[in-house]
Amino acid sequence: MSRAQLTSTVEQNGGGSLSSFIAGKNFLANGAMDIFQRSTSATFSSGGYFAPDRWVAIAGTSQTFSQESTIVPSGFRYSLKMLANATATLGQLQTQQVIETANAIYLAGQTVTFSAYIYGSSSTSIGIGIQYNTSVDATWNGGGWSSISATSGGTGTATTSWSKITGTYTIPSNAKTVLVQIYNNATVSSSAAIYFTGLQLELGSVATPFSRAGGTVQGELALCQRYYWRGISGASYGFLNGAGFSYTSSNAQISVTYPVTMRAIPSSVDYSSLVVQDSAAGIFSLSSITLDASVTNTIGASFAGTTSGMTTNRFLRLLGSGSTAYIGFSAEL
Amino acid sequence: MNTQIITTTNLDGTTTDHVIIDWGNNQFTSMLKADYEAQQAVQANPAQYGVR
Repeated sequence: MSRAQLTSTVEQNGGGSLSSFIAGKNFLANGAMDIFQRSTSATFSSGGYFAPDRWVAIAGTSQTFSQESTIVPSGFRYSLKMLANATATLGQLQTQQVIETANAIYLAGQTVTFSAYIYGSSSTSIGIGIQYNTSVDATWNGGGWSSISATSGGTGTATTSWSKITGTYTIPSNAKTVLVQIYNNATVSSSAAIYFTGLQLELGSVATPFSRAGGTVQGELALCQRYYWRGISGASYGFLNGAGFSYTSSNAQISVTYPVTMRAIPSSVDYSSLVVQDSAAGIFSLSSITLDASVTNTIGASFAGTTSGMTTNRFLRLLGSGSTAYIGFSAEL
Repeated sequence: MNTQIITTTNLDGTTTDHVIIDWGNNQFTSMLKADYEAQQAVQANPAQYGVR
């Protein structure tokens, strides 16, 4: 019996001294759907990261992902609601999480168990799966993925009562990157919804009680910010963690420090309604921004913002023109 | 969704092409044009990242 099984199955369930919340037992960040930095509800029809942190939507048809706080199992605050806005055939209502090589390497050659709590607005067949890639830090849409057959489990039925789905797999020894996936295992009709939470991937052949990967909600947030973080102004002209100077009348040079060291140099920046305020209290809207690759790394970035009418060589600070203005950096897989 | 290409001059005098993606509703994403083109190439074949 593995240590994880021993501690979780024997000691925890038997009232032992160890807590079921053990940071690092769960290889999946945001398994309890606590963190939605981008948006708590997003509608889309193509794949990408839209709502829950670290969980990418595969989307072959229109659907809405949202953070659900009413339909949740006992002991959880949130779940992920995946709503079909049109008929979704097998696998179109799907989310995946890619585990980077620094963590996935500990799964190579091991027996693992993937588990999740599932619920459906109507009876829905659900599948879970694990895939591996022999490339370092492979991306969800970069190709090269191979599926792993479950040695047990891997399917279940979501109903109007919460239940747990589990699957056990053996990860090939040459795996460098691993992803987990959960999806509709049969066609679902428009307006049907399925809900997931408590997603956990752990060593061993037994699904033990859920534990956040980061141990606490703050730990979970920091884990997610390793891959993506977004600063939201929160108020009219709220501060957005950036400062710089007016290089020309139309070019604002701004530097931002990330809240945590990121997985890799961010490859993109999201933004909305950004302005800069100069040292004479002038406000200038930024029409576009471009990352400066030569002074961007895993702890901070510099970027150029395009505007007009500034006086050169003035101090600038980065603000949002409204409460929902934001800037976000992505180093996702 | 609309895209715009912007060419910037770096501190060392070289130039870099960026893509600005306009998602509507005043929301944008900016990335290197090379990264954008790589993403577009793989997303043209969605079957490779679905259920296998």
